[in-house]
Amino acid sequence: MSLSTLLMSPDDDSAGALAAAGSASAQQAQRAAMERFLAEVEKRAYQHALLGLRHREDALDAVQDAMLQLCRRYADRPAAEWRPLFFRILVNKIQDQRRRRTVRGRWLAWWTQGNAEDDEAPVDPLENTPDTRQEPLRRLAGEGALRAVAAAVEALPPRQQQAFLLRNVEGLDIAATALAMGCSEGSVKTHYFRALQALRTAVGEDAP
Amino acid sequence: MSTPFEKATREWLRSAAENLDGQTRSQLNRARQTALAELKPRSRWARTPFLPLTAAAVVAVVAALLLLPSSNHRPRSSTPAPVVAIDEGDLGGAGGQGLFDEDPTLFALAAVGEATP
Repeated sequence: MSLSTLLMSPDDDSAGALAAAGSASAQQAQRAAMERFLAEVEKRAYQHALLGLRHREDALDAVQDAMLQLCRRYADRPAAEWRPLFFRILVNKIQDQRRRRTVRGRWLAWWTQGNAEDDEAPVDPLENTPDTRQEPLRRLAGEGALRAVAAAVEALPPRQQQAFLLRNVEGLDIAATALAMGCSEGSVKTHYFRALQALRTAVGEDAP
Repeated sequence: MSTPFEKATREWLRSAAENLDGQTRSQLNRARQTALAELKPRSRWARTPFLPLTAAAVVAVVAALLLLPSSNHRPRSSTPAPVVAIDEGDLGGAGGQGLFDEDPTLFALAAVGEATP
């Protein structure tokens, strides 16, 4: 018989069982809340990553990594903080992926230049960039205004695109958007204003 | 306050996000389940608030008890120890011959006394 069993009175035992049951139900409630949150946010998160990365598999990887990191590190935080934290992680993943692509592109360009004299048909680095013409968002947009908006959002600079998607589509307020983007609230306002201007220009005057 | 342009773009993009193809939705579902599997149940000790502070305090108290001088832990009597006046003549004379000094003459006399019946 262990020491803890010897020291534990029947009252302690029942209290421990109650505490264990309470903690188990709390864990189930936390899991249910997290599942609801992820299910509610995952499609827009994928859309955000797809517009930022223009590559389906990379976008899925970014969303999955953000989900994993949120569950591993920030599940204990209040549920109200999950949304800005999740998008902060996602934005960082998208930026990391972009940086990796930039470095890879430079290496490919250097490699292509170095072998240009030897090879008859040098590899064009642009061939390795994903084709965005058949991405799901574009296909869903179909013909018309949504297609034009999707193309315009894709063409935005990264920070403007993030500010627009987080503020307008995701519905975060300025403070939460600043937290998600890792910048000041003033920067968020500037990026968002410029994004709206660029979108209006790209879509045209007859856009709603 | 959203402008009509902002509202329209929001609705378009949200509807596009809600109408993803089945394969993508399936992959997102798998990703979500994988992430939820990472929600490990925390141990009872990990849920205890201020556990690090409590542990640090216990370690500090134990260390203080172990490192204090041992004289501090001896029981002290309430009555002071009696002071006994000692005369220097009891312990030693003016010439340095005290009770504890060896006297060769005394040893010689003792030897003679033992030899004679």
